[in-house]
Amino acid sequence: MSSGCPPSACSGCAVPGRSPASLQRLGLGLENWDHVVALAGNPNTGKSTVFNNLTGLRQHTGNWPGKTIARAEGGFSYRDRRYKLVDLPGTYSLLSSSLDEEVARDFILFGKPDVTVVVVDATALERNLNLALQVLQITDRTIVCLNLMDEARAHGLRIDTRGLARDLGVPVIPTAARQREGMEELLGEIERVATGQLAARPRRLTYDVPGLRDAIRRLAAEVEAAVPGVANAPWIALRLLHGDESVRRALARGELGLVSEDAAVGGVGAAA
Amino acid sequence: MTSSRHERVLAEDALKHVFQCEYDRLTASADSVAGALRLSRDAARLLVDRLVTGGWLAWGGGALYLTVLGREHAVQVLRAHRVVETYLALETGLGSSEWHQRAEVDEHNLTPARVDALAQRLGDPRYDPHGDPIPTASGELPPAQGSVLLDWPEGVEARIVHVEDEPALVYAAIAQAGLVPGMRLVVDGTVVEGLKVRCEGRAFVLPRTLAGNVSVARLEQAPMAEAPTRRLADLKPGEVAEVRGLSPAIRGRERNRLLDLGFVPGSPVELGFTSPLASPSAYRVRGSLIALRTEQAEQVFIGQRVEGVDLKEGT
Amino acid sequence: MKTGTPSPGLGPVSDAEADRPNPGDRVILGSSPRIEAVLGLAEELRWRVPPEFHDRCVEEIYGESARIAARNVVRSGVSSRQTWQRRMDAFLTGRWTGFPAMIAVLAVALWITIVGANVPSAAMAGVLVDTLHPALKSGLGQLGMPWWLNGLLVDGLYLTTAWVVSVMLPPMLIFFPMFTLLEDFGYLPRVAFNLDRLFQRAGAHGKQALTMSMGWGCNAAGVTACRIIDSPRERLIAILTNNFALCNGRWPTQILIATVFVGSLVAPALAGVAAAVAVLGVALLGVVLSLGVSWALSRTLLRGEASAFSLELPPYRPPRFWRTLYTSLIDRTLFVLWRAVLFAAPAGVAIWCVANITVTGRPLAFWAIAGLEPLGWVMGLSGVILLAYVIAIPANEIVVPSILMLTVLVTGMTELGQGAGVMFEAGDNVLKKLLVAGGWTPMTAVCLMLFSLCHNPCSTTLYTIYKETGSWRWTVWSALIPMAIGFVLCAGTAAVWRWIAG
Repeated sequence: MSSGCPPSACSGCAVPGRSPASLQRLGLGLENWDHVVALAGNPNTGKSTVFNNLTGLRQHTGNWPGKTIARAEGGFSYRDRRYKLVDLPGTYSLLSSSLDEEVARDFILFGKPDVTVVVVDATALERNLNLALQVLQITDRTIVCLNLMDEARAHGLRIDTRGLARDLGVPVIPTAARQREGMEELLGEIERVATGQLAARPRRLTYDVPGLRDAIRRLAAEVEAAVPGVANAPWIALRLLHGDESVRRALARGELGLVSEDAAVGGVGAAA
Repeated sequence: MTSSRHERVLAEDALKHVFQCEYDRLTASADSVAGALRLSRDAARLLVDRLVTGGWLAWGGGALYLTVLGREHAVQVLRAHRVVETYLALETGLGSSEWHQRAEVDEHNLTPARVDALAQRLGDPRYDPHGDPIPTASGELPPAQGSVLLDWPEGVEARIVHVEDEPALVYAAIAQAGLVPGMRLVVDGTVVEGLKVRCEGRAFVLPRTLAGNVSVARLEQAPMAEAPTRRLADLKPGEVAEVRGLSPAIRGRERNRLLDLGFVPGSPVELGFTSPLASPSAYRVRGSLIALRTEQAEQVFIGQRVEGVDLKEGT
Repeated sequence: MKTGTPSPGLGPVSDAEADRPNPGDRVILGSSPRIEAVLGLAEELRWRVPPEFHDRCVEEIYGESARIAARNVVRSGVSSRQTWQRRMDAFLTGRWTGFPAMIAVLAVALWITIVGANVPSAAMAGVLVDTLHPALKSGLGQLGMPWWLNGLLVDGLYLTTAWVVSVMLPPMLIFFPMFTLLEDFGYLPRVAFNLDRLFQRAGAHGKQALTMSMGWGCNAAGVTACRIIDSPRERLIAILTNNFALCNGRWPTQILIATVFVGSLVAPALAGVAAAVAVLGVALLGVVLSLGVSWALSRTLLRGEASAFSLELPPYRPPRFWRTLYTSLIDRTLFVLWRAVLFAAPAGVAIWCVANITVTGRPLAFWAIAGLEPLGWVMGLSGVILLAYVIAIPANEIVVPSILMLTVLVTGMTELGQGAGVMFEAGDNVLKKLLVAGGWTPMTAVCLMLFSLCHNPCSTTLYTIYKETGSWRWTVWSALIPMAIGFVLCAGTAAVWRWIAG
């Protein structure tokens, strides 16, 4: 039963793994980074294992939801670029139903990470894509890390990674973080997105709800006019309709304008 | 100090009463003030006179009206009341029977700035837990709607728009019956004890005294989802059904949390197993096992049994 | 709109009204007219969108996820692991098996700890205390170190530390990995699932069962874990009652006293079992107290009803044995041991001082013990135990070593140790002889076990409570509640015991 193990157990990794040659783990050495990478994902998807693999840190998490509350930070360097990696609390959603979700959401929205890696559990795709889609509404610079592929294979699941990437409109990297499979590919993709070599066209939801579509369209147009180049106007409109205080405040303070940098590099306008 | 505070509370309650009368298109008078505030007729008359002299109220055609000044103040107090009730419902563990009493006190103590801060923290709610609209910070309030359930025609689907929170005993009984603003219901007929009501997968007889304190209105638009036939708590082990929606009684964060976990219309759900103490129960939904207490499962609406679906949880 | 709205009350304007600003004011920070237009439009549109639009949006996202998943995933065959998981749940949360399984798991874990820790404990004490201590003492003496400095460093500092290490390390090495294995396996959420009804009745949050389990490892960690509880009221209840979960600092005390007194009441073959049952009893009493205090709090200081509860039961994952062992050794055992040593060393010095500094011809400790004796008697304890408790306030783990050293001093059984105020190694039998000579009865043992369950949290936990609640008031309550209960419990037990015993 070696395939089943909690993410925590892989921390530190006593077994020297096949680590990518050009990866240098910096642990807590976080000075002078070139890019910020956020790690988001549902609880129990092996997020911390990915984090530990890249930074060389040992973050323990038990097999129960909500154990990681604060966010952990670590550093790594890959092909002469230094990255700060931020491990966000594991959440099901970004709709602010609890404190940890607010922490995760606010970081993706206001922390302005250069890349957001969404770690998803390949064995429970339906539930995990729910979060991934929400992240795609906020930021273009997203990579989906399809983790626990070993588990999925053990369950007789075959996943069409290319089809998934096509449907989501962002890169999808299959990994098995416990076995350190796919880390090199993940790092390469992080580099491509961080340096703007890759322009994604993430799937945007239309919210086909009577009485809502028009409201979003009208409000999103106003948002785009007020904050030129904003990448996620429909999403901001939706949050305003929902009465989201932190989004309202950020808009009033002009903080959301900075999201537009993403649009400038990613070259993707908002799908209205 | 104390007596002036007492006078202010009385004055604000009087303004609120006149506002409510205008909102419901009833006539306010010194006598109705006396009734609402439980004052003697003379005391009420004195109070009204003072408010008229102060420019808060005015007489017109034998009825009391609010001046612009008076209306502004009444709306502020009403807003404070409803925001406080919403806050108590969303963020504290206090039972529904306590919301109104506490709001009656706090509405006189909070400054508008603090009410606004509270409302912003709650995400500027539009309706209070009784289904009443909360006036906006600038004092806007949509017009009243709905009619008393007692007068509602049989067989016509309706939505509960308001549950009167006074008297407290009747309100508690309505809450006990599980009726909350936002729910859909149909009156199937009348019996001696009251109205035969079908409401979101439950059928029961609602006593007349209770039905008199519930307001309903026509559905504004076609129903979003098929009407539920049962509640999640009715599910048998191993049985699969489709979620039809969440009760309006589930509010705020709790509602968001359940939605995020996958209890959304259209999700197939299966009862996995139940705790040795009979509650909570673990349900398989969207690839995970989620434990809910019986009280919550009672607030999740579901449809009929779905055959031939095998729900797998993540492994 | 005007400023300074007048009051409709005719008396002087009250404080509450003095600062009523323009109600139309909204805190919009330096925003442009365009932004204000956006916010204004949002405010207007909010009244027109359907009331349950948020539900519909989540439904949309889930629907989209399901469609994308269905398009790209092919499932073949039945997973055997799934069958296995369902059987596991049927047993661990079963109507008749759930609770027995829970108690059995805890009992077996305790029994293995008690039986397994004996041998390495004795071996370590043999090396650290029997061999190294005399060698150090005589070695330093020959180097010409003055007697008081030699005593302070070797008899006080070194010996206390050695004692703590040999008493605490073996049980921790066994108990913590077992706990971590259970945690990684996914059992803790099932415990919360089984116990939820009880917590609900007590007006507490279902996840309090989780934070309580974490408290069994360490109360400070348990208090921090209370962040997973959303409702502020229930989080406070969980924080205030976490101390009733026996922490790693107190397991060794419980295990030691139970082994020495309870274990010796029965046949040697059953001693381990009897001791385990006694410790289990105290741990379960802790759960009962935790529920009782939560119940009382939600009816007095923290009034309110239990809020809604949803808990994900994660799939069982067979833990990786060696990896878990390694992690728990690094993260828990060494961390806790280091902390104990940090506190034990200065306490050793303190104990040596109170035993060797004399006031009017008698050691300080003598006066302190005499002063605490009446209170100790009422609680079924003794002045020695209370003094040890006072000295050990920074860390629970060194209560027993302190008691032993002080007992030596009082009974004058110095041949067991190496002089007044000196820690020593003692086999269980010698230990018992010593304690009996110090006036101990089984009642003393039982009362000490109860007192160790119910007294104020250690300094680290208190500091954590202060950090988490941000309030001195709640920090003080968290210390007072268990102390009061401990006093009542001990005094009551002692009174009943003495009455029955005649």
